[in-house]
Amino acid sequence: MVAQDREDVPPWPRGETGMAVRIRDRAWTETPLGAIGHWPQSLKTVVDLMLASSSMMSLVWGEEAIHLYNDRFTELLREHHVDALGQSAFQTFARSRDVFAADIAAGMAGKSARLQAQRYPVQRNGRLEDAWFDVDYAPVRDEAGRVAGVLWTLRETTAQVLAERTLRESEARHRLLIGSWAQAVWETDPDGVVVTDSPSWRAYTGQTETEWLGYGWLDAIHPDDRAYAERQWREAMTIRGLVDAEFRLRAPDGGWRWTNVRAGPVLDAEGRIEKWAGINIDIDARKRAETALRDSEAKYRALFESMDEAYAVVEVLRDDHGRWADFRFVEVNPAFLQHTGMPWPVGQTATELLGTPNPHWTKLYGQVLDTGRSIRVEESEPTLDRLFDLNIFPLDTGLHHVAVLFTNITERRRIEERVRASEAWLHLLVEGIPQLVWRSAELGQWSWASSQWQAFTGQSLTASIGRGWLDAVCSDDHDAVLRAWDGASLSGRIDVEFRVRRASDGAYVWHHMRAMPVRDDARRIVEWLGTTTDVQQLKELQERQSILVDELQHRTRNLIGVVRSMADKTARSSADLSDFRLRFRDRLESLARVQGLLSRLHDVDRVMFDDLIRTELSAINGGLDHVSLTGPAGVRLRSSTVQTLAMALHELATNAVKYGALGQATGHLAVTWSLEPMGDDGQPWLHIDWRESGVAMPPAGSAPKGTGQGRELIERALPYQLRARTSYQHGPDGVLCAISLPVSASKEVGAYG
Amino acid sequence: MAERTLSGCHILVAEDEFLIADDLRIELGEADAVVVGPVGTLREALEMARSERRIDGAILDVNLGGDLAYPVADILIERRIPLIFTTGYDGGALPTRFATVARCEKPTTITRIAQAIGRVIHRE
Repeated sequence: MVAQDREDVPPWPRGETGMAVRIRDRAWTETPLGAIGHWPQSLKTVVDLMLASSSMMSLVWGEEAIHLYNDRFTELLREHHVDALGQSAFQTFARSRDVFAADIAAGMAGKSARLQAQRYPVQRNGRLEDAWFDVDYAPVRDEAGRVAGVLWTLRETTAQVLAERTLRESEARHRLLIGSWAQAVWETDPDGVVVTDSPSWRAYTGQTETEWLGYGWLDAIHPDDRAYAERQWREAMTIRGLVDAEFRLRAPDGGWRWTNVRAGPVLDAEGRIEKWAGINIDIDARKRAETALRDSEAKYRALFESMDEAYAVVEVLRDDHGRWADFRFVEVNPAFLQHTGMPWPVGQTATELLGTPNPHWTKLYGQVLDTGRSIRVEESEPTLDRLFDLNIFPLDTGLHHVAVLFTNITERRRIEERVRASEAWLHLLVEGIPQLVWRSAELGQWSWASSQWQAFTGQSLTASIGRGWLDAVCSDDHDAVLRAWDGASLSGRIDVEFRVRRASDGAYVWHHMRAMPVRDDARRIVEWLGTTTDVQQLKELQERQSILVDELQHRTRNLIGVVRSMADKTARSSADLSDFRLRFRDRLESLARVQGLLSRLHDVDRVMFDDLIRTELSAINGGLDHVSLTGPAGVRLRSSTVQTLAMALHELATNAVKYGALGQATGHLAVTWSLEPMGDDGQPWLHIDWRESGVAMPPAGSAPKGTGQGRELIERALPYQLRARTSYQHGPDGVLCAISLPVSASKEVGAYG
Repeated sequence: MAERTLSGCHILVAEDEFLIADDLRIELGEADAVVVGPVGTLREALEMARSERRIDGAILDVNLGGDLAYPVADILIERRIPLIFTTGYDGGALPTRFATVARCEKPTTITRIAQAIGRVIHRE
């Protein structure tokens, strides 16, 4: 056949390369097109055209759509590893038949079309990729004028399509982005004059379109910021630069909102400014937060600088083994220096500052970082000789920062301890003194009472508080006590006596309440501080003293009465004045002696009879030479009887000296006495026997001398005054006198002497 | 004058000091008064004040051997018998119920005591 071709006609199609060779060498007889030599001229013409074209061309022929194409088209098929030449296009492109089948049908129906951006999948770089083509197809008619095929001209536009799509996506993303954080988007002309509407601007500012156009937008800016905004805009215009400014913009609600405006020139292909595009980003919240933060920081800074408490931030440092080893001062406030007395410490470590490592503080700070919990602690620092009250709290565990807020309480503690010691001392004093101490508000409303009150009255502290203490006061004295309190605020003192019931025996014991007001600086009475003192003994002593004074008066006045009476009687019985003088003096001395005996006595003592008789007889000239005294010692005489008895004994002795046993050499006086423990009346009685002997008596019948007053005392005064029983008689050789009288009930009776 | 006033009057004398009591007895006797007593103890004075039918006036020592004579005075006052106290005490020491009772503070002369009881009886 080849030979035949060579022989008959020149080989077709012409050309020594590529598709011309392939078409020429193809065994066409097996195809619906039949031997190439029999192809219609119309087909051959189109093939020549196609082979000659630099465009990508492809021809489908006949009902079977036998595919022919040029070298350019081959590139599309290269990686498909198919030999599509002479094959049905339907077969070759079975997977995209739906893409082109309708077009082939249209072409076969005599139509032509230009299809833009047709997408055909193409195997490239080892995978099936979308490729886009601008496609022209047109029907090809055979010699009979019937449409026999369709010629395709393809121009690949994949790169263009992809670029456009990328651009589109990019723009959409930008729009989305801008829309999401810009509140207004707008444009101006190249000179910066607003000539187009911006609905977003109007929504953001509340301006109308008219207000917005031109330079109207400046009216929406806060008056304080307007000049600044305008300047920024004009500068950007001048230097063709970007605008990035922050100012306040009117909001539709009439308020002001901080906005960030960003704008820049949009250049055309020649680099000329085509327009300006801009956006407004609302930064009001951020701005307010910043302001608030700034204010807050300023406040904290001011607080930090001016507060009395010391404040420090320290960074706790680890050693090579990761253990807390030291700390460094990061920040301190001025008060820090006052409280610590340290030099400016910032930047230095504790070791550098104090000269030695400080494991104690390091441990505390490390503990705060480890636990994340703040601690409140009192710690002393020996190198500073100070005591601190500290609040340590974690500030930044990442940076190992700890904050310490503290005060120097050294002096305060010293004072507190002094006060405590003083209070303890006072307490000891208050509890130790015999007075009952208490504190009270106005009108006797006690707030506190010392333990002595509770011990004395048996009242609990609670029971004594308020006016509860009155329950322990004798009800007869309530009026006096309440009166004292009613007048207390006027008089400024409490001074009242009343009886308090003693818990131990229920007895009411006199107490003296004294109180002074505690006043404040304005001299107002804050409270009353007082004592209640047991004055029972004092009162008893006073009463006793009063009785004693009365008794003394009584005795003295009686004594003077006695003296006068004695003077009268002595005068009556005296012969002359010198006689009177001797006798009166004598009696007065006797009286003085007995007063002496009485005055030496203590209260419970009694004059002993033996003392009395000895004293009286010893005073006489010659003393006890002719006297014998026999009787028990220690017989106690009633005080009221001593004087009269002594006077009687004196009269007896005086008479004995003048006329009887004590005046004569042969005379003898025997005084004997005995105690009868239980007399007629159940009282002890003293029996005294005065017996004179050896006395030369005057003749019977003659009146005894000098016995008048002595007798009267013995026979009348003693019975009258002492309830004594007496007898007085003249015996053959001397006076015999017996006196019995009740004496003091004596517990001690001495031995007979 | 005192003598005439006291003449025939029965005067109770309660005085523990014998010498003074005796002087009173003598003085009142000289004024023609009838002395009831004298007595030196509270017991006797009470006995007299209660049982003596006629007493026109009384001279009471406040202190009778250590006992106060007030119960005697109470009886006498109840019997509407005028009385005076003789006392060694100061004026303020007597109970208030005896505020109107005349007092002679010792020492005083027996004459003045007699005059005082005379005035008290006379006023009755």
